[in-house]
Amino acid sequence: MSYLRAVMAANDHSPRVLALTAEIIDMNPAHYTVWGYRFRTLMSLDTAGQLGTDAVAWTWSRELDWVQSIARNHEKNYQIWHHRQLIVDHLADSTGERARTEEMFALDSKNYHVWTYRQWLVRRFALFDEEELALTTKMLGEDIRNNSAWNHRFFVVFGALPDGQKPAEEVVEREIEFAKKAIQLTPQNPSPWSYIKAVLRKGNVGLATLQSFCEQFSPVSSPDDIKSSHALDVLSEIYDEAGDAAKAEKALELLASKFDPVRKNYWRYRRRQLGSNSPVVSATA
Amino acid sequence: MASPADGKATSPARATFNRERNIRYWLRCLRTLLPTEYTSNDLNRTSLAFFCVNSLHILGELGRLTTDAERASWIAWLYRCQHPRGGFRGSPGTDLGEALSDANAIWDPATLPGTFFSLITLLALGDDLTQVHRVETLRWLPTLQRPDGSFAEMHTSKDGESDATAVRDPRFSYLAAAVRWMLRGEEGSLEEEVPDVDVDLAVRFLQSIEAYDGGFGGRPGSESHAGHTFCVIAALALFDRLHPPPIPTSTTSPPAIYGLPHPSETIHWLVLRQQPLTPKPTDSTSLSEYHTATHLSPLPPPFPPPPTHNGFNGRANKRTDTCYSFWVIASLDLLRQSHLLDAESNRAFLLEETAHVIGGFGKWAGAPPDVLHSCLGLVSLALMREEGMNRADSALCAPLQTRERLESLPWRKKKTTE
Repeated sequence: MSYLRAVMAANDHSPRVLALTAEIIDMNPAHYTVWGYRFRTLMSLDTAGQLGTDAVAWTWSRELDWVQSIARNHEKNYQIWHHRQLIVDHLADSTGERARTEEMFALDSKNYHVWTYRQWLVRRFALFDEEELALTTKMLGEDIRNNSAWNHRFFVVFGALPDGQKPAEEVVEREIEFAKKAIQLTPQNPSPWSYIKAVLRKGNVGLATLQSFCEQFSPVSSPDDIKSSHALDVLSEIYDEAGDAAKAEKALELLASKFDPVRKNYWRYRRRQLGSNSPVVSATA
Repeated sequence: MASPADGKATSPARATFNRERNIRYWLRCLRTLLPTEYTSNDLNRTSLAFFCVNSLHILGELGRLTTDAERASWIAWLYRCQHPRGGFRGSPGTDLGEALSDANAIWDPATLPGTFFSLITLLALGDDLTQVHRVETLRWLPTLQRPDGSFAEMHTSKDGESDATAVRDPRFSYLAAAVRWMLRGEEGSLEEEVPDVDVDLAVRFLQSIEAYDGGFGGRPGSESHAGHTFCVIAALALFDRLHPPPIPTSTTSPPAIYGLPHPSETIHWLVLRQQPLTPKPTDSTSLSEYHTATHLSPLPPPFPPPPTHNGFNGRANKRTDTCYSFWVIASLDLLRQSHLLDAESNRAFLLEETAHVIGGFGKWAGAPPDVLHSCLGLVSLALMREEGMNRADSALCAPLQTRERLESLPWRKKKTTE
């Protein structure tokens, strides 16, 4: 550590810094200045034309391999992904990067840092494409409750739309069907429920269009057949919008007393708010 | 369907909080070397100091069980982390000392976490912050703000070139808001004009990272995460932009930008975080495999969920974890809605599942305790008015006394003209 401080104080960016910083990162990847120092050293060697020469047997591609090996051992570290992002941004080349993030998803399919990096990659290289959509389909096929994959799907489908522009109707329709299939398989899975509500809003489709779909999981008049608290939640909104206060109250009371009692205070708060539709704290945009 | 609607008749007596065991845990953490698992926190030693000191403070034992000499030495250590150009380092580990120059200053930076944790720990230890480079620190804050309104953790580039860090999330907005709130003090308390951060822009960034389900992620498009959601809500609170401003006295002032974009949906998302325990592992998986298998979503809760041990998860379909009790309860408390939670079953989750036999709290049942989860577990109990603990302030994650002490300091008051 004191050697590193001496090197930093002198702004020494010679090749030996690569070995020194690698050793420190290996010990403590959360060291918050060593990564930046290493990046600047690599840039300085690159500018001088020294990377990949006899003098410096190190290249950007070896650096990316090395970073991946560190990432595998320190899944919770975010500086690693920041470093990777700086390099790939500098190289302006995303080749192989999707495969590398997928290798990390095999270890933890919900790693927040890896998803953040993946979204940066998609934005930076405009990869809102079929391959990206297929990744989410595949990952949801492996784990239909993977909320990170649901979130990424929304990002891929709608993330490239300019502000205020409506998505194509057939895309909205396709995504509604995709979420409905997931709900059919796992009616008590919160992820596709959040997703379908968001798709409806994005496509400007009324929530009421879900009424019969929800009622097949949670018929308010037949509590013994109820399979989904989320369906009851959505139905309470649909009934409220339609002015059917009695049914909306029934749905919320079923949630409070029987189907989601841990949130009974919340469901009863929602019940008191029926008919008002006014948010507690309003926002200015 | 089987309906354990009334589990109360069969449930055991209410768990008690083991105060002595927790006090021993914190004194051990403060006075002895931490285990090697903390090596990776070497550059964040001020945060470790905060977790230890703050926890004893929450327990009301800081003044009784530590000596004046110990507290004075900790205060002196924290001031050694202070940066001559404003702010605090995360630890003395980067200090270039005499060698510090304009050319190498970015390798010895003050950081937002180092500054926040140092200030709040100094207050807990009874310091009045008069040795803090107040004006320099306040001048440093706006230099960390980016054009999109977010904040960098520290300076990573020379002479005002755009910052090289890609780390961009609301944690640093929260820390900047907290440091600004602590040090700016009342309007008119500074003797000179000191440039401020662009609060409107900061609020716009926070509003822009709302995810499609009402929670907040790290960046626009990111998945909702309870830690980031807390940072957004607490930052708005510390900027005094969470709730509507009072009725304007002048019709010419532009409307302030404030609030969550969709508060009802955020509340919905927050209350959905309370979840039962993930089912125990089957015989075929060992306990350690079970604990590391975070990539597999937990099975859906039995329906209806058992009403006894419901902690909080940080994202949909993740396991409940001690620290999220704090992030979620504090968020709802700031929105004045913490009564919507089931406090009793969260208490049972913490005291009967994640509290550790040597004191402190683990991340989840069976995990060894660590200072972050142990501190946040305690503060979340304090927010729910656990008996025998000091009341806590949600935005600062500290006892109310810390806030009150700060607000009473003379340098923070408006200067009178006489």
